[in-house]
Amino acid sequence: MIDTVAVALEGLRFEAPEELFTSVMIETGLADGYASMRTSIGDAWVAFNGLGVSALVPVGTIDEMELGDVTRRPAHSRPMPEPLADRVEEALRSGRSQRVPFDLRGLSDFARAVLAKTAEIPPGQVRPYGWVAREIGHPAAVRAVGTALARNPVPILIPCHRVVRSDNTVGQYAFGPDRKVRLLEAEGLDVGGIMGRQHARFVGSGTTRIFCHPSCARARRIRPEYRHEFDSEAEAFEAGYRPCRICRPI
Amino acid sequence: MFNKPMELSAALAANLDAAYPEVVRALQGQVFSTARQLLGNRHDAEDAAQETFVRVYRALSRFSTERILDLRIRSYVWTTLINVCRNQARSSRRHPQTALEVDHGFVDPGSTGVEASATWGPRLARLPERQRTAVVMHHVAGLPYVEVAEALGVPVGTAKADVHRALARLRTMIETEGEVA
Repeated sequence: MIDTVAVALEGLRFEAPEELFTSVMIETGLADGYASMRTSIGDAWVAFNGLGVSALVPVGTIDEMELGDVTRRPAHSRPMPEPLADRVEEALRSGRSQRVPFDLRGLSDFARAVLAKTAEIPPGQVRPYGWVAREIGHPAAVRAVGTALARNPVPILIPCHRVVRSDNTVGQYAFGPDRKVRLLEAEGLDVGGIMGRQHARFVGSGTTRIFCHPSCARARRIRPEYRHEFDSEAEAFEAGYRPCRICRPI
Repeated sequence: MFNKPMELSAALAANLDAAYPEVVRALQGQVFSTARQLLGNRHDAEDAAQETFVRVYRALSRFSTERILDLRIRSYVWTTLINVCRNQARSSRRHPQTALEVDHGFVDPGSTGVEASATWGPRLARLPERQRTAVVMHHVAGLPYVEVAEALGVPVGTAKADVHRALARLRTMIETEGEVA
């Protein structure tokens, strides 16, 4: 006798929904999802997976279909999960991304250290490439810092645009120097008033005898009558100034 | 692909990221169908299946190569699924508003899925938990008794007995329904 119950139960075996496979791949980080988000220089594709944000690419600099080439994983268009989207939107608004989880697999330890240090630079401020190199314990690796920042997979969120040349010029940017300036201005940096070879590399306060990077929040509070400019740290030391402990200019 | 369990473990040990998608592809239908009958609705079943595969991947990525080679990956997936389903059933009992979302209208093109799920769901729900799990894994997912036993952590004889008792109970239920109608 054929067991009708057993046969009926067999009929309850279904194909898994195709969405299941994609969700598992994204959640495990074997694939990326991507969504469009607004930044201060226009819309961007933001790629993500279960580990965090893996890439940011301004719309127009790349075709949507090429996103998978950036992260070297298949990419699927889909809304970003709300808790992550909240953090990313907040970071794009405030310029501070400390609460955003990033998926930086595939980068070297050195590159990750460069990006982590860069993420500490407050919005509206800039630091030289040499500063990043010094801060992560590789003072001679200035060019390597530049290379690591040029390959930053999550620009804007990890603010490589806040790293500039030590001669006070803005320097290169993956999406062109114009966009770098626009990003800095959008954050409130007086690019024209601070950047450029004609401006001093360091600024000191005559009352505290402390010298800073010109864009340091402390430096911007110095009243004009006490403001002194220095072109080198030697000049500042000679005048009896010590370096700021917050922006650590040397 | 991966007809023998050994090949599967070897592939996972050699390159977890490359081999894992195949594991998901190979097992997702059975895992989803099992979760579907254990949890009673499609939405919870999708969540449980996803969580199962994600948990297994995260565990594997922490394991040493030797441990993956020794692992019976299929039974590891099934044990994880049973735990996930148990937890999810427990939390939906605690939050009854989600338990009310049981969908009896299950549309699956090319089958009599709607009717089948609607009539079998409540019947399966009336079985004791271990019998339900065993009969669903054996007859719905089509797993051999050995794998059912391994996943449930019981001897093969016990798994067989659970399946047979479950079938007997289901038959009785149908006969009683027949009398009522």
